[in-house]
Amino acid sequence: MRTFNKILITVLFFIFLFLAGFGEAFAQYCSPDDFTVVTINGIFTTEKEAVANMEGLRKILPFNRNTEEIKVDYLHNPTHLGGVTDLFAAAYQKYFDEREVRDFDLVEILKEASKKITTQKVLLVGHSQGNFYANSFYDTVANRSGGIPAESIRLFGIATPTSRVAGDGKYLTSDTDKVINLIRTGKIVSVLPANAKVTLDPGDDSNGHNFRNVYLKYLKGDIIRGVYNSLGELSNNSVQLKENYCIAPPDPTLGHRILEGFFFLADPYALAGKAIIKTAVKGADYLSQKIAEGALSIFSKLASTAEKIPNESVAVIAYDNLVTDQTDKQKSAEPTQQTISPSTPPQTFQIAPIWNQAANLSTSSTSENIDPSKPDSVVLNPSRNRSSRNVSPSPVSEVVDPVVIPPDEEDNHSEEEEDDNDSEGNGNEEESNEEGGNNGNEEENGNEEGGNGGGEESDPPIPGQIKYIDKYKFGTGNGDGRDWQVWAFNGSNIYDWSDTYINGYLNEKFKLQTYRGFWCSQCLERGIFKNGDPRLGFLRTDLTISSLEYSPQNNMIDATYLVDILWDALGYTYTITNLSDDNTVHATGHTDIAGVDENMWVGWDGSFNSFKFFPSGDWIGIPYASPGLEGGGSMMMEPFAVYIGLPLPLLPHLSTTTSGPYENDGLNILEGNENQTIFSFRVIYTCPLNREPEQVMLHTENLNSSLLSDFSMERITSGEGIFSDGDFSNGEMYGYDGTFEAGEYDYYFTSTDDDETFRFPTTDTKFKFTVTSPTYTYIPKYSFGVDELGRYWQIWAFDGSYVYDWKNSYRNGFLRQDFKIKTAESGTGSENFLERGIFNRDPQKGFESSDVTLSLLKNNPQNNMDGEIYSVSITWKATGYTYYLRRGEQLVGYEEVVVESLDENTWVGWNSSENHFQTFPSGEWFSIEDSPFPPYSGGFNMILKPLPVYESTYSP
Amino acid sequence: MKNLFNHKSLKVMLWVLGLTVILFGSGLVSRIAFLFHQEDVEAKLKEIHEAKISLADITGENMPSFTGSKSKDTVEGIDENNNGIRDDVELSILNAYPDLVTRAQLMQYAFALQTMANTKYVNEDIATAVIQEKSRAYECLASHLPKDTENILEISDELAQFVEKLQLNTPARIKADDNFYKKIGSFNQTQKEFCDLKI
Repeated sequence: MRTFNKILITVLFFIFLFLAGFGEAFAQYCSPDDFTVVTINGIFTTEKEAVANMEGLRKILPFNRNTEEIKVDYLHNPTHLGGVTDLFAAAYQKYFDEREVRDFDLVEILKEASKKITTQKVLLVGHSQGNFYANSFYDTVANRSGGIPAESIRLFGIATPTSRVAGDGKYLTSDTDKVINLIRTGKIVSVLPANAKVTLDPGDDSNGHNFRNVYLKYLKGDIIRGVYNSLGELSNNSVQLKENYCIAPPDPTLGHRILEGFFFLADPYALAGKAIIKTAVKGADYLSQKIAEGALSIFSKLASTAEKIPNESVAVIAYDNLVTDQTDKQKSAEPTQQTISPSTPPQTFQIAPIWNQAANLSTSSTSENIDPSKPDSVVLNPSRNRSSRNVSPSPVSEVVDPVVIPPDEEDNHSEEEEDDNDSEGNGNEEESNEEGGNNGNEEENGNEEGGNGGGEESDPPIPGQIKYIDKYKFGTGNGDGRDWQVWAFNGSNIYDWSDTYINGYLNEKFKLQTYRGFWCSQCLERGIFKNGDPRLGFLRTDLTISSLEYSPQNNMIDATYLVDILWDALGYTYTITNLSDDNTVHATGHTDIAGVDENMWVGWDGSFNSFKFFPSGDWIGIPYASPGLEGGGSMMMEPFAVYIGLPLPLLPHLSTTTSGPYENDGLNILEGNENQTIFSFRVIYTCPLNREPEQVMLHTENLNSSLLSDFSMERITSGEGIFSDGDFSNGEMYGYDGTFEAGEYDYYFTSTDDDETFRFPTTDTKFKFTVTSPTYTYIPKYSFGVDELGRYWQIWAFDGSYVYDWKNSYRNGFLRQDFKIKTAESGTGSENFLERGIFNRDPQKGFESSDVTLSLLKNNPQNNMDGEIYSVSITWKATGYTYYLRRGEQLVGYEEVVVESLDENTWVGWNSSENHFQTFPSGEWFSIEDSPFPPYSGGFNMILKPLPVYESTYSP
Repeated sequence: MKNLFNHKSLKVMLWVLGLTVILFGSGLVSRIAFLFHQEDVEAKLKEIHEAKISLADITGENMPSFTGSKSKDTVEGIDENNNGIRDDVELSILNAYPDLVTRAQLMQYAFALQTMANTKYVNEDIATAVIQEKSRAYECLASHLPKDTENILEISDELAQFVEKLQLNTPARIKADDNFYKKIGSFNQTQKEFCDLKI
């Protein structure tokens, strides 16, 4: 049985190794053309940052050198065990800086390089600790079997802590790189001198060490030149065959696989532990600053002392982890000298010897010294170093932050390998509790949910940051099953709260009801937050607190006010209207606020709170004096951005021209006559996406009659320049022309597009125009025919004449009027005659004196007193009319009259010349019995029914 | 005959033979499973690399409606028009950048970031492919400018940050983005065309 177990274990082990190798093989070749530039990052650099560094370098480098493409890639130097092993690696690498050094990560890097490098010519760009790996990479592959001939590989070091650049490569180190300077000034180890000058700006990485934000920013030209020139030093070779890998693929050893498995298993625990330590470090921030003020000076003393100690690892640890307990460090440094011993690299190689060498070195002789699984074997005790950081987190982190404790790195690691959903719990909760300072709030309010102690999301690790929780706010969204309708104060209630946006700016409105006998010592309070949505977290320094201007909350009268606060680019306008006093304005004014933008938010609470306790709110039910609404006190309003520029302008919108007759309000005139004046409305519909609207409407309201009317507007397709070019993205004009009944009018426009309606002007604003009654309105009473009283008006009597047999007809659309005049045989006659009125519109809808042209009959026979009967015929045509006057068959009068501007709006009517179309109605009836011209009945002073002179559809 | 099977050498031989069969069978099963898995992975990789933004996305023909604050409810957000770009981000880009060239670059970058948000982790290859596309999208930013433009990196970063600020606008999204990078392997840029659209 024992034999069986041994065999089984052996077989399973080989199965594991066998299966693990599946899928790794892939085909590629090593091109003699093109270049590969590969970045290698330093310690504590996340994969994301490594990618960003590569992307930044690729962005600034040219695509080609001469005709050959420049490929830019990266090789990630990962962080293991929370960075502990990397610190050891750095120390180890520094110690062996003058010769090749191989460890687990180098094997991984070489493994990746084998996959990625597909050109003979390679340039390695190391940053910070990555330069150690670059050197070791070079030492391992240059001129080695399965590697790269020296003429085809170069190094370019950036911010290098090394004493050399392998292969006589170039480098670039800033004189203000505090991390490198610190190592150099310690005089413990040899570091290449600075060779570039950088003047940092405020806000830059204070260490001057960051690859992307310092070196690429300030030394872009030097880097481009350095890389470009280094590439120029590369040449093709005949050793690397096109059909092979540029670098021979690794043949991982058993030890390498074991280490890989170890890291896989151990990393999550190590990283979680590191996150806890970091949280504690942040919680002791103040203490750490005090202690750390002396850290550098202590370090300098230590460094001076250490000059006597010929061990480079001391300085390396100092460089990578400045916040250490100096005593521990000094003590721990000593044995390192004794335990780390250089090994002589092998001199002979087989087909893939470099991998075997590297793996052997990392797992055999060297691993005894730096085996991360045996921290005790290395004198510098990582746990003690970490502990010391907990006690005295140093402000030195400001100096060497990217290298020593990159906050992002730590945050990342605190969550690494955790499921996205599962990881959002405890760790963050602890962090929030410590940093938010709101724990007491939960106890005070007795709330179980919400609060700043139980954050659902991971808080940014900013000390003092707390979250604004909009609870309890108006509405049913508080999760308590209640509808918070009113916010009760002592002496007032607030309700009908609304938050809307006008032209992108916040408009807050609410009603404020005050009542007698109660004083509000803690009233409404406004919080203005300058750095975005405070619900995501805010600092006290982000917050400005103010009261409602001229708040009537303590007026102690029974009244209801409407509070209207409208934000703009310079602050906000407040208007408080007393609704109980005929809408008188209680207070209004503008409060200037600097820096209004999308990141400025506003929230409201009670002044007892000052935005310190979240959530806040006490349910009451129906508060005292409430207008029948339920709610509570101590509420916390939902915060809103004071300005949202997005995405409203993108949406279709209406506007008017900015000049011309329709400017600003889209109407040609603001005042006109009832049923006469043609009001022309013009509005411009603009859709940035060049979409035609479903409809554009004009909406009017007659404020006198409360009549609401909607008019469809038509697109004007010509004559309006770009507004009639068919391109909706630059605006198309829509119009409506019409007359209106008398009254005061409000109007606005809307457009409908995809079921979205856009209004202009915006909500609650309307344009106005006025329609006045006309001076005269033509009332065709009394005219020929039977009136409503059954009286038959057959003759129109004048002194000395009678008009009768009046006929109206149309020929070819033009009016013809025929009638007879019977003159008296004796008498004095009259000064009152037939008078014609030619109107430029239908006078029945109203007219002014200027709208009518008066005229008499030419050779008017009315005062002839000859007892004759005259026939009158007036025929209209396009230019005017022709007049005939006959006595029997004899033509006694004739006239061709030209009427200017004759059109379908030209009307003609008749009255007595003493009236002049000024008195309506007019007419004096006489019966047959009283008729001066029996057997006809009729009357005096008649006003005949007006008619259009041209009416194609007219049917008499 | 019975003695023959009791012979120690024969027992060992049978054990070796049996174990060899087991080893071969296990390997075969694993290989088949691997091939099935690899087929799915390769299809997914193809899909990731072939997904591109369209002209309609940048002209606004495919414009979504305004989603408001509800778009922040999930990491993925709302993509009503189903073009792979979160609606609120898409609207903001359309609004802020009228020129099509910049729009195309920003949309591609937003598309890549949204792909990160949408992609469920299957394996390192797929995660890496997504990041490759994101990296390609970054290179596309400001690519209409000459490489030797004085502030090309700053311009690119400004554009990238414009999108990232919109895209990563909740703690959950920031966290998901950070976590995504932990799932990738080193990669190189395999495509020479950085921009989806040539404008």
